[in-house]
Amino acid sequence: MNTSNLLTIRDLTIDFTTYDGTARVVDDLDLYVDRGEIVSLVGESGCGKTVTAKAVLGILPMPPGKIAEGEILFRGQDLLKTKDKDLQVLRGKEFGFVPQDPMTFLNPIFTIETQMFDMYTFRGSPDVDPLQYLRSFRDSRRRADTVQRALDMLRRVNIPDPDRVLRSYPVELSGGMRQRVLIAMALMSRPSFMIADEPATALDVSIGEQINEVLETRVREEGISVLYITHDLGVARRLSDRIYVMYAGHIVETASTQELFKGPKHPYTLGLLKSVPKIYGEISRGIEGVIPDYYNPPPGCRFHPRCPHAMPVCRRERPALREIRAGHRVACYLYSEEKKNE
Amino acid sequence: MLRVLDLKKYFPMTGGLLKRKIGEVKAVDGVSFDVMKSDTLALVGESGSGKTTVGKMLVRILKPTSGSIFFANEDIAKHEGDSLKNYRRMAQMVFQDPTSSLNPRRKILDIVIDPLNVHKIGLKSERYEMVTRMMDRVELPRDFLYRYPHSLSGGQKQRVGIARAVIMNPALVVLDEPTASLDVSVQANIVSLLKEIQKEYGLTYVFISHNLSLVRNIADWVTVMYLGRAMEMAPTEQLFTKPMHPYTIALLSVVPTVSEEEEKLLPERVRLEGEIPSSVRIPKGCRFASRCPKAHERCSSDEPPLVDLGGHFVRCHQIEEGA
Repeated sequence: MNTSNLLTIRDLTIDFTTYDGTARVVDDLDLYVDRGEIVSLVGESGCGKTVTAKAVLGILPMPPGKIAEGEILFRGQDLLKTKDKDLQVLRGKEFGFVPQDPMTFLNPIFTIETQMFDMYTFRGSPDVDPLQYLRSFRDSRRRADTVQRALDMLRRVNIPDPDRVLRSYPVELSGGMRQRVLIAMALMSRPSFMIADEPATALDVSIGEQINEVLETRVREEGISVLYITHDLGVARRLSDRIYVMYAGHIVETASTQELFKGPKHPYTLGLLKSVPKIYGEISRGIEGVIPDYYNPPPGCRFHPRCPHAMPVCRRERPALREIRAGHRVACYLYSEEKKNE
Repeated sequence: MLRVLDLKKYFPMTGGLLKRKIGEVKAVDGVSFDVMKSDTLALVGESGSGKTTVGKMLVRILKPTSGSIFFANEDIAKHEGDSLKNYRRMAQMVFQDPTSSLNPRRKILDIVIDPLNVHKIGLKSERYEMVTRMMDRVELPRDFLYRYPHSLSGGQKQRVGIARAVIMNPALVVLDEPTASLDVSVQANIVSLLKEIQKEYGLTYVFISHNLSLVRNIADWVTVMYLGRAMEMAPTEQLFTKPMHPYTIALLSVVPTVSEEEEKLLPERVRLEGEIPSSVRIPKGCRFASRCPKAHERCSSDEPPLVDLGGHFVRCHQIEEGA
């Protein structure tokens, strides 16, 4: 891991404290995204992938959340030590975000034009006062320029009738159109880094495919780095350069996409791959058991209660991520000779 | 065992002061198919294709606008009252969202035993025993009977949904995307459970899904629906190896895959432009013409019929002309 990466997460540990106790939902997570890369973070519900994304964006609800440890470096600057105001400026200029559910991220009472204009005009400017906001209406040239830019963006995400979309309210648009609008919004301020949190999951297969395709084309062309969060291994395989597989708050395996699908190593990754129904008509029984209780996680490897290869050492000690080939790292004792024979 | 003929469901749209009818949503517009005993028929399509509406009509949660549903040589499409209640005993449904289909204020025991009480199946004293046996069958611990749905995971809740349907010892079970809201490892668990139960009880399934890879693993027959109509119908093997309708081909070409050998089996990537049209204003001609990469003039004026090519049914002018 070198410091020239755009985003580097080191030892990130996030706790949630509730009446039931403290749950460590992300534990000692290391991850990096290089310039121009699309990196997928893959895992099932409750594995901590969205919490990680929120921590990077600085929108983790605290409390109940708490970042117990770690650093999130963006261009070498630790976001966790950055003041809120500076963070807002940075986010506005450098970050894009495409959420899973577009309806909760678009304001239902304003037109797309208003939302795109406001977002673009006031991005990265904390504490906009009402007067400043009203003044923005008087600058008609700036307004015209911004609207032009918005139209251009909408066209780039293949919206067939951008003028009409700009005048519409979110409810007047279909799910796929809303998601395109959000991608256009995210691209509008020319971010260098984008987080996409399951942008296609809530959509139909053919529409989701269109969304992923337009997203990929745009970010590749503009050289934007992406952290793509998904539960779908198939989608991750198609879109990303590298993949992190996450289970119960831990990264269990990471490799380049090609390497991961050619030679998956961690029993969880293998189980997950087998669980995916195959187009030639094959499906396994899935992975037995359920994800662990975060308030009382199992000692050692968090996957051991469900693992078909669990050994005594797995119950005692947590396996560290170990490099088994260049760029391919696995957190499992099966690939560590000395521990295996213990 | 089940024969559906020209099934239609139009939902009226009302408006104005007098709530007059101002239009219709043609959710299902003439669908026919047969399902053999102990087979699985899959209904595949995107949102708005009418697949769930067909499912709801099959178990008669909805009353068809027209058409027939023959079940054991009886047309149950127009049944009411006692005869309908009788039919519902034999036709059960498992819903997509296990959270909203289980009453949060009732214990699992009450939820699963309820259909037995309603239909007065078995002696009261036997019913508890039947429930516990069913719990064993769906691999849930018995102490779950005294828990509430919120304390169960999604997969466990769906097992309760399955138990509630199968405990009636039905002949037909309509499964409406039973795994769509579950994680893939849990989905695999549920699918294998469903397959085992089908074998043991000799159940007939109508499996509604948008996931083609999943359908490939569970169905014997597949019907691909688009805007309320069947576009292609074929035995599973046939449909996946020799898809004919441009819509089916397009859907298959974008199936996410996890290996190269899988990828090789897919047709060449077809991009579908645009979105499914509204079922209020159904386009003239072929319903798929607006998105079809192979559409020509005739497609937007005449609607093609469903042509039988030896057990493989396709609704497309080009196939019809070629055949």
